[in-house]
Amino acid sequence: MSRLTLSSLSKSFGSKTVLKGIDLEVPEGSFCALLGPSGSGKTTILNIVAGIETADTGTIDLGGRSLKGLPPERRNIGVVFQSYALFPHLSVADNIAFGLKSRKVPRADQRRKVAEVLDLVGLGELADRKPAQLSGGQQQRVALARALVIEPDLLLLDEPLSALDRKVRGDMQAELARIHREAGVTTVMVTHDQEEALSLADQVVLLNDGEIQQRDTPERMYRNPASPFVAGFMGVQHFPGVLRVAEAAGAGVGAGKTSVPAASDVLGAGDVLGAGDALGASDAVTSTSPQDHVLEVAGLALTGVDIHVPGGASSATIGTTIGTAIDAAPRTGVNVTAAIAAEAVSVCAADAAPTSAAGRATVDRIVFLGPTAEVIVSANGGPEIRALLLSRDAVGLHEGSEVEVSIDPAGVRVWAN
Amino acid sequence: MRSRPALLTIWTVVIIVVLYVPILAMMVMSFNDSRFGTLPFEFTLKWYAELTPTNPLIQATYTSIQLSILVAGTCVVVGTLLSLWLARPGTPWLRNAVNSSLLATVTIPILILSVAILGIANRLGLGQSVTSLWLGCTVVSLPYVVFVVSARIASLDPALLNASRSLGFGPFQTFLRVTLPLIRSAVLAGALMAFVTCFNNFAVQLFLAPLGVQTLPVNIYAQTRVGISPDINAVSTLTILVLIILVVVLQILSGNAAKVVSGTGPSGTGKETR
Repeated sequence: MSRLTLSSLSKSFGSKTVLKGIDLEVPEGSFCALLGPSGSGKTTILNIVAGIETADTGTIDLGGRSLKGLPPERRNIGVVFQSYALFPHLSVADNIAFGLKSRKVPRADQRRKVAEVLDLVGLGELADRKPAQLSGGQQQRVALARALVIEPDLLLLDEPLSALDRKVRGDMQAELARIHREAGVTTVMVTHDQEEALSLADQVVLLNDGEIQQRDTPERMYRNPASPFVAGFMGVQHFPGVLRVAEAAGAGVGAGKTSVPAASDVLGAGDVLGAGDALGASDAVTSTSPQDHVLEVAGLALTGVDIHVPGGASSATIGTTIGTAIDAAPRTGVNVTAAIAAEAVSVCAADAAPTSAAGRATVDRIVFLGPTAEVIVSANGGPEIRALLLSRDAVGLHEGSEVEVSIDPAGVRVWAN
Repeated sequence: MRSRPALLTIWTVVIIVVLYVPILAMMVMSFNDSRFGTLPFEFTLKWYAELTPTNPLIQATYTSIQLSILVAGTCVVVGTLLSLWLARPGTPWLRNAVNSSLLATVTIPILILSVAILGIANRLGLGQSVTSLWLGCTVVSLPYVVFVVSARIASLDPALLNASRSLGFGPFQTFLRVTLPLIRSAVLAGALMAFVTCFNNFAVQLFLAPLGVQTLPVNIYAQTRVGISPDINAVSTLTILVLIILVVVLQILSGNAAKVVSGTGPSGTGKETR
């Protein structure tokens, strides 16, 4: 168990750069997920840490020792390969004992440790089987047991659940979380499945094109994506939109960056204001508050949307840029990208509309998912918007229904284009 | 259209008859009393009784077996190492060159290849000698070992080797503990193929064997110039039986390898019946 630190790791294959200076810290005992589309470099990072590939530049430090130049057999890192890579000619017990043999562990201790770890993964009765006689889920557990029994300083998992079918995957996910908790080993997992990353990891690192896009806890990554790319990868829909100053407030802002206090508490955007305040305090350039703005997106007009991305280091800059741009052109507005979480969208029949609705829309499709239902609507010929409702709230809606759409501003993020 | 399966069946039977009747006739004649293969058929075992250790045919058979074992052993060691090298990444042009030349060895007419090898042997000062016989037969049999073993190595998951390394074994131990056990059956199949190919290799042996060293095919060839004696039928029948057993073993060891052997088998055994 050790802390893993990567600094300015880079790697090229021929003329193709796959890693562009990766800095990453995985605290002792934590579970880090490297998430990204294929070709983002996540597997390359794993291979470099395991010693299968070598980095062009940069250093890897595991628990205070540098791994530079060490062959894989001297790193003491447990690896679970995507194909599991169980030795087909050895029994389950011999597969697991493989790493103990290389460490010259006495035979009796080998047997005891193998039995212990088989118990941990719940496969005690299968010790004498050959890998070919096991199901995918069982093979995965054997691979995990084989990697854990050597008491590695670090556990690497390469797409550990991708080869399993959906039902088994859910079970294994819970199992993996339990085993990680019990073994307490620092773990790095590579995956392209955001759900897998969000449910297992303490820390999610989103990669694209060999660069880290965002590094955050799963919840923050989902709620505060740093860019449209991150939002898209987290499964949050995003649209092009225009942000302009609201008609009623426009005159004062256009004239000279003077504060126009919020007239009303539109949509109860109190928590959103907090971020705006922070910006106001640190930066006096803009004084526009969320209520002054109208976000036109997907055929809807939203008020009370926070134009700042809170949390991230660069959020103030983004917010200021938009604020300045809006001050310069209050009427025509600024082109932006807006991410809207599906669960922030609510839809109700036109006659029962609340006063704060963002606009009218037509139901295109309803996808029933069990406890929840996805209602896909479009407004004024705009793109489709997904709304995630509890099934009971979707009762009475059907294809072609005229509905009122309202959007919780807390679920909206805006970036300047 | 309906008659096509019937036609196909007839065609298949014709092919089998053409291929195997000569061999069958030879086997039957090895039990026939007549010295000149004339009918009526009268059963005898006297031609088998003539196969004493002093019979030149039997001595030639020993020579052939010794040579084939030597060549098969050489092919297995060299061929397996070559296959392992071919499976490594890097220098694709060199790999392609080696692969192509192995393929060429199989496709070039064996007579031309034999003349070429003799030419080189003469240049090297080896001439017709046991050494050049050994090297020549190895050259011809080597591709079969490489093809079979390479196919097996290519089917191995490279992650297996990485897994072994990450579990603490260096490259050499990984080879002994993972690679070797997994390619063992292919190596054995390659060894049998090399043995069979060498045993059947008439042309190379005719050109490269020194005076006084006669392998079975060469000996039979020499005898047929003065007339076939029925003890050739007897020794050929025994040889075919042994080869059939080897091919069956091959088939059990590796389906693919056996396909290649059964392709060369009938024409190869045909040589001994000349």
